[in-house]
Amino acid sequence: MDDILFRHTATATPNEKSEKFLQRLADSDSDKAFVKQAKQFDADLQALLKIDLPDDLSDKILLEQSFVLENERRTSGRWHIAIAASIAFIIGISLPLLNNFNPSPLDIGEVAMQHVKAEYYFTAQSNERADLKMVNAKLARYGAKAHDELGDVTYVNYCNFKGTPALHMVMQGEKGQITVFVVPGDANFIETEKFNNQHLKGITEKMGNSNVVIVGERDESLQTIQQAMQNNIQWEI
Amino acid sequence: MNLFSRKRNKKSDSSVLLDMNRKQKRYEALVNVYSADLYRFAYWICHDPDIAQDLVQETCLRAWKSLDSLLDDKSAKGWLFTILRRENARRFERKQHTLVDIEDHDVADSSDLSQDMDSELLIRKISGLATEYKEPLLLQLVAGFSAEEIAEQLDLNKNTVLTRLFRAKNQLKTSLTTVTTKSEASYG
Repeated sequence: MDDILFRHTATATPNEKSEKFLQRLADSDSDKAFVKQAKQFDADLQALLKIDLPDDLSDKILLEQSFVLENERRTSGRWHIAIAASIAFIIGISLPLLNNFNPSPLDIGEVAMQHVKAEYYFTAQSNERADLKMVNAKLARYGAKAHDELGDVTYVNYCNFKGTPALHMVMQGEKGQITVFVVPGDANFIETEKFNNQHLKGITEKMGNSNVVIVGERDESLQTIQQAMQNNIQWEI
Repeated sequence: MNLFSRKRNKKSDSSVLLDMNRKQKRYEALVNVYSADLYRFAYWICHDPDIAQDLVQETCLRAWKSLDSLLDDKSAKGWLFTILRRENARRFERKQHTLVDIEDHDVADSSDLSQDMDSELLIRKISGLATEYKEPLLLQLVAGFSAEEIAEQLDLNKNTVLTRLFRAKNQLKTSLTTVTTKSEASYG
């Protein structure tokens, strides 16, 4: 190892352990002194570079990390909450829908009376003077055909019977209107045979595949209509 | 560095739950062992205690996030310093720093480091070193890397590193001797 390389090495890396370098140290006291100086210079520099650390440096670093961790934990927690909320939301949205498809059955009489009450004035004012043809045109949907007059039909139409498409027919009774609903039998209702409230009364009878609900005033006799519905209509089974 | 190997062995019989805890322990050990060196290196690179601390914080956070990719604890130090130097470079990308002339600024801590003229001048000289000389010097004297490790860290060959170390120290020494002779002369 020549002088230049030796001095270079000694200055750059005084702790060099290569054989050639150590050999020069062993051979020459002045080289040894040179390396000693270089080591001292490194040590001086090191001491100079060893500036004071900020207080609690590593604690601060760990604290910062714990903040980040906590944040991540919390956001991931929020993520779960968000999912939970979404599921709850979807359930909330779909429960009423499901209910629509699968309702707890209502009393057919209650529905009928409500319906009559709600449309009482509307139907009272209309008089379509429906003939047999008109009635049959509507009845056909329910697999029924009237072959004789049912009575004085003032209104005949389809209606929304709590979600079920029913036939809504109004006839003139002795005391007031008599309303006849033909409700498809597959609709989910509690089929109360006889029902009434303060103002109205009614009966339900299975005819063909449908439930025929007849509603009239409390003092009205529904029997005539009931018999007409039974006898003058051919119900498909 | 068998500091971590003990934990490593335990890992085989640890549950997933304990794994997190282990990672935390490993991280804390890394921080405790290396944060001082990282800070001092950062300080001499940027000459600002606050920025230096931020750099170390970011370095450690980044290290935490990718701690699983550090397979060999022996390479932890080099890995951390690589992250630190990358973070420092990123700092310059983020914000186009106006270059400050070191001569215009008091180098922090210089007064309480030493009243000694030599030290003060040396500190100024270190701060004023070109990055290509300063980085290897700091990696050697602050971080304690060998010439080979510095070469790897800076992606240079070893001879280049040796030359730069030599020149860096020579520059500092020259200034020192000038000052020494000067001050001796003034006393004489």
